[in-house]
Amino acid sequence: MLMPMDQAQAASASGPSLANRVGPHIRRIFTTPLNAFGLSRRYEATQLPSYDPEEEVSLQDLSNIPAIENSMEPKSFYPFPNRTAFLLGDWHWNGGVQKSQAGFRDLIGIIGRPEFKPEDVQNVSWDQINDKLGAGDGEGEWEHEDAGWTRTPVTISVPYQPRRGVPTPPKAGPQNYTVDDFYHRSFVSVIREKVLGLDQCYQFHFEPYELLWQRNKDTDPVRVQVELYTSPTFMDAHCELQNSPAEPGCDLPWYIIAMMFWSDATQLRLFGNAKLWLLYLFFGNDSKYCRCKPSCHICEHVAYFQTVTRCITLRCVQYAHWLAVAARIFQGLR
Amino acid sequence: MAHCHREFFHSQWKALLDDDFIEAWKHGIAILCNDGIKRRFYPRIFTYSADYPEKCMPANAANLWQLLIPDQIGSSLPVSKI
Repeated sequence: MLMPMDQAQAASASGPSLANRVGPHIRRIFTTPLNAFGLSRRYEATQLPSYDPEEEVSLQDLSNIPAIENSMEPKSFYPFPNRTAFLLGDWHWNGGVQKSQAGFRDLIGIIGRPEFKPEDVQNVSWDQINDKLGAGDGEGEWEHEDAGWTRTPVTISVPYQPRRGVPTPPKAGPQNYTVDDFYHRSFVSVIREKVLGLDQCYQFHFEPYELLWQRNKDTDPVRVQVELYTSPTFMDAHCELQNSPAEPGCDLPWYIIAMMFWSDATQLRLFGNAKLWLLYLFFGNDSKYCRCKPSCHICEHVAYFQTVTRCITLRCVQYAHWLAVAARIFQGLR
Repeated sequence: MAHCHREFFHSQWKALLDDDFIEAWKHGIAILCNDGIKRRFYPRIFTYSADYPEKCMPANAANLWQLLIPDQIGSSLPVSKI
């Protein structure tokens, strides 16, 4: 977006003399000319990147403004046969448990659409659809092996204290406690999938750079903090990597994959304690505007953390619990 | 109980940071990209964001992060600044 790369190459007059490392690849500093906003980029690399991920970025890519020609119609409304059936099903299940004026207006809105056709909903087998909707437990697509999810049993050692008065078993001591259903994806396969999934006009930044702002030619440039791939941390990590010894027999360019984890326990129902504790993964090589835009689909969920359950809790507090009960009994007797 | 929570969280992260990942951290993963250029990628963890209760867990489990700092790479990870 700032400028085409061939122009930048021509502008890097300060580059060749600034070799700052002698090694298999000599890295230089390339500075692109100022754009209309007074912004320029400073790369520290062996050569300027051949491709600028921001070259093809449009306003629609970074914002929620819908493109006019871009139809948002999904391809399938499974398990519903068509859009009208889906809207009616959505109205039925998500419209609240009581009839309301707003719900009535929603219904009128659905059957008042110009494309509403009665035959779309006349022969729909609603019972079957509802069965399919309800049968979501345990048969999720994500559990298939090709989705990359694995189930790993996790074992921890729990200190175990026998009850008072009960003879200590010969094998007393910490007991192992295993939880079988820890679902997660391999980080390496997620990274591989991400990189292989990049198309020709990808917006994934391999090469970090410093973004500089200069009011005019007489003033000193000011560092602008925008993205992770323009941050000093990324730059430091990148330089550290480039300065580290090369892999034997490898002359490939090295890049950093910036992993950014998000983790949040999600309450599944309005009432009750059903929770999921997910671990999300974003890549810092992507623009923050894309990361904030759900329709970009660049968030990966990589793990569902389990928590310590009630049975293990009971085992741990058995001893303490008995003490508490005894204290209460004595209190009652008094 | 806190011990169980911590041990359990440790164990789960240990399963996540498997041998493949540690190998990739140290020696990179060579991938032939769709633009025909083969590159070597080194995963690095930059941030770990969580709400307070979830944040306490990794913050208190800080010794686990030693796994992430192999000697060859150095120790300039911002992860310790959760």
